[in-house]
Amino acid sequence: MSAPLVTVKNLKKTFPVRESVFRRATRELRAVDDVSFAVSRGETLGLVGESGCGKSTLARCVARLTEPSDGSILFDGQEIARLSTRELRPMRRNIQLVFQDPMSSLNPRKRVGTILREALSIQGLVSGRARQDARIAELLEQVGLSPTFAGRLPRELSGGQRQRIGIARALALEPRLIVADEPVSALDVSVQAQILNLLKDLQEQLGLTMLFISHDLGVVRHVSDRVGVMYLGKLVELAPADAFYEAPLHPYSRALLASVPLPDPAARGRAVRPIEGDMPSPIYPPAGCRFHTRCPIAQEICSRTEPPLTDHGNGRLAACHFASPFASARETERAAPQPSQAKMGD
Amino acid sequence: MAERLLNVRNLDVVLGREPGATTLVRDLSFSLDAGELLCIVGESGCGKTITARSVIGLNRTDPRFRLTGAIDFDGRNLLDLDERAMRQIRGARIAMIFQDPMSSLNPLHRISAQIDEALAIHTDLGKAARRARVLELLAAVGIPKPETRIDAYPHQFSGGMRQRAMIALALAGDPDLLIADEPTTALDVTTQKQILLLLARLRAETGMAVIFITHDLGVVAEIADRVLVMYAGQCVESGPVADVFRNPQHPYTAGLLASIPAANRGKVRRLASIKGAPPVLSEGRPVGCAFRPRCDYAFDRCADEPQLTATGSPDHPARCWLSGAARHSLAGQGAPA
Repeated sequence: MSAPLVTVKNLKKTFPVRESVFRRATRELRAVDDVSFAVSRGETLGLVGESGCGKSTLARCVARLTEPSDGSILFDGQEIARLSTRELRPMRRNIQLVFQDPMSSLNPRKRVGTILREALSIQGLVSGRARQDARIAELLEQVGLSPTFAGRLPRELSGGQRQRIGIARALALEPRLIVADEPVSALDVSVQAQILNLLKDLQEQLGLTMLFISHDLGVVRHVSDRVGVMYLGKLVELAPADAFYEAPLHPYSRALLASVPLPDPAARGRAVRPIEGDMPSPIYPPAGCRFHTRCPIAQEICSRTEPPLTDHGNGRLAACHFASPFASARETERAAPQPSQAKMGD
Repeated sequence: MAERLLNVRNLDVVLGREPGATTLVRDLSFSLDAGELLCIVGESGCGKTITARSVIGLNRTDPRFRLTGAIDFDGRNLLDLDERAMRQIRGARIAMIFQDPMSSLNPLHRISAQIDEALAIHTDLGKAARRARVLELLAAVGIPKPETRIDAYPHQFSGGMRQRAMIALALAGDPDLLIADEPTTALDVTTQKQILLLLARLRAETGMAVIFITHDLGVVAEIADRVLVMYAGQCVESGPVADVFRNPQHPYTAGLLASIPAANRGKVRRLASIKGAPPVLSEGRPVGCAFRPRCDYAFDRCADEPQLTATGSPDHPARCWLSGAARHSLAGQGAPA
């Protein structure tokens, strides 16, 4: 087995927080807190979690759009966590990003051809106008657009077409890793399917490795080989996609999956208790296991000792003292029926 | 048999003046019984929000819009009412909640003052009684320890709590009809689940009818009694939710259902998808069936616009030449089987 393309070890990213504008930063927000994982060549790792769980910050660290506070990121054996902006430049082409909102990541005043040409020129990958034109046409065709799109402005495109341009720009540099941060979240469902199919085709054709960030568990299931779940800056579960969706080990993963509305009226009223309350502030995370304040199966140990991410066999890792593929009775029991509802039933 | 609460007949909503006017909603008819939950589903720009805003009359005084047809609510055509009469209905009989709670909540006023204002307008409760009612409403929408939260400002609430506060505000007038425009779209799934359960409970308690607008077919499957699918400003299909999901009659509905990467579906090699993108109505509506340019089943006849016609199952009409009664009328005209 070859070495993974990306290995992340004990990665941390903290942001200073001022409690008032007149004070110095006194607290820190731990957006990513001691996260480790690896992505194999040609693999898609999906990262899911709710707003504020740190998934986008993690993606930005891996792509080195931001410098991690601590920890290591090995890209193809090379340590990139500490590289300076200048040192990073020659390896930038290896890691490319696809963003959620193609409108804000494409310059509205530049034509599509110019946007793609810039990518080619900056890295000096393809020189000469004619050769660049040929490559631009090839890229557009690769993402399913006619070469005439080179003359268009971003505002003349639909959302799906814009996202195709965003993907073409990422592909221009022949990257080895694509970091896609919510690439289909802004798209309508009929168009979303087109883009997901395109990403899959490109990955097969070009042998790309992908880190795919999304809050949509359905989308992640469809594209990922493995899935990681984040909660308050921590990776709480990491498992092969099929095993994860069949029977997740962490109670948070189960609650998350059970909350997803399924497009099947017959699945209505699944016996699941919704997770209660809101996510705690990442500036003041709970002690012990970060999920214990909302966890239906928390015991005393959970508020004292933080569970490490441990191996449960078959490539499945979970950070829970009571990790199990089976939901406990306490998780599945329904919330007590409301008195007024009982009245209605009479 | 439940009584009919709302009956929208041949509603057209036109934006702008000729030439260059755009028909955003076209010949839309639907009805709603008391206590029923109807989901209006469709993609961006299909006219679902405009429809909702027309029912509650948010665009009726806007000179850019022209509304024709009829919106019968409780025996009266809302389009015939003057703004004064409409104000008696809006907020009291019909209330609305939005995707962004901050579009309903004033950031400068305490939650208590905002709900109190609605109570002062729509009820004859005294000051102390109103305060008690505010507490009751906040408790009903699941705000923990409402007595400590009642005088908070909106920014002191989390996203899910603000959504709850907005729902409390909408409930202040004890409405017969709640219009919910994508109220859970901006929320995380676990919070969405909480809000959907809350709406289900409140509906059971108060017996109000709900029009729930969403683009998420998962949410539709979870909560709807009936569903209305919109495309390019028209209803292309409507019916009981189980029926529409099991046996979609319009290729657009079928395509939407097939293109969802659902969390309970195993990985497939390719997702089914619908080619192209929804039409931008201001650039002109496709001739004939609006879905024709994207439809895999399109044939000559689709150059004529199909009407909403009955299909095999009851209360489940569709706007397609290939479904139900429309197909029979084509028999012998060389249509594909």
